Amino acid sequence: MMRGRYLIIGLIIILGIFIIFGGAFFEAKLSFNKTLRDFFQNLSPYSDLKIRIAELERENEELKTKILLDETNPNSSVVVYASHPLNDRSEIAIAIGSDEGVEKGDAVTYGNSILVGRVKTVSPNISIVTTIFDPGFETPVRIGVDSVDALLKGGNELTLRLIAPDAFIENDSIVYTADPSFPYGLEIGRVRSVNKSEGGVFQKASVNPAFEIKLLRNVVVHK
Amino acid sequence: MLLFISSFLLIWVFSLSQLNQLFAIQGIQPNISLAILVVYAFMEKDWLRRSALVLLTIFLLNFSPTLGLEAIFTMIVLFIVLTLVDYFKWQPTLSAVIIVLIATILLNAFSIRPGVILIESIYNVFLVGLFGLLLSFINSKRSSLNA
Repeated sequence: MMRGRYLIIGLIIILGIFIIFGGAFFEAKLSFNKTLRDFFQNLSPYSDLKIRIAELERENEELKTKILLDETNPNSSVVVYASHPLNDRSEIAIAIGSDEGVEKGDAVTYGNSILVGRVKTVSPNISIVTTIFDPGFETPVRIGVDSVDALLKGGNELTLRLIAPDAFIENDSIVYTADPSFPYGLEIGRVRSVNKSEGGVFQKASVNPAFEIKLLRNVVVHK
Repeated sequence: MLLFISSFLLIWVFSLSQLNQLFAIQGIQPNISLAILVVYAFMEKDWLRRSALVLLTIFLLNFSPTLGLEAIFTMIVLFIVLTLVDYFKWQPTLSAVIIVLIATILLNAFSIRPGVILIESIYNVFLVGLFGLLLSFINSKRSSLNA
């Protein structure tokens, strides 16, 4: 009985050390998480197909974006370790850090032209990225071939606000970045529906994002 | 010890699944670790073991290389939840549901998104039922081994 209590006390001390000096174990924890994820992924008969479909959709979106806008410079991709475990903050951890020149505020994309988010914190080998699904994420964007200005608001559902009341927006119009802190023209998604509220000053719209966060395996950092 | 080890392993595996959004539905994922902790707290009154599981949860879910405010806040909420378990003297199932609802709201306190909180609460309550059955089964095995 006493031996069991000593074991628990020892476990608490060890966990406390792991938590307080978390930096040394953070990378190891995320690497183990990635190994476990890959293991479970290989067990599922359809996971390869889902990821392949996501990649094809991404390539398709990139080709469409290239037709509409300028191409950004290609950079090598980095592994996505994990997603934030709680719903109220959407962040991902990626396998690149200050040792390779990453800085806070750098844009992060899926492929070369789909915006994922921006770097929030940087360690030597790992960076935390705030994604467009974070409720606090906001960025100026433009919509479609007419380049209608709007403000993208992040969250589980992406919304466009401050759209001019006289602007005409079609469903499935491409939404892309117009923020000077990002490379111009990164795709965010496509318009799903437009809400022309009677009596309101501005229109609103909802957006289908161009990627699914749980299928994200590699991203590109624009340094 | 069997119940503690089982809960320890369940939290380990399912906390890592939270990092991969394996069980997310429509982009909303349940807080599986919270569900396991609440159920465990009803079956185990020893605070040393409860604390060990809370620290394990914090270690696995901490999404930062340093011990930030978010991790400290989450730890405080989890200890509040465990304390509430001892104070809610109603029928255990009802108490567990109410405690999980309170915990879900507290953990999402900085995100004013009622729809997401509601759906996550429903998922968490469902998981409390699921893990309640599982840990009850394990607990009954423990009792039969001790008998």
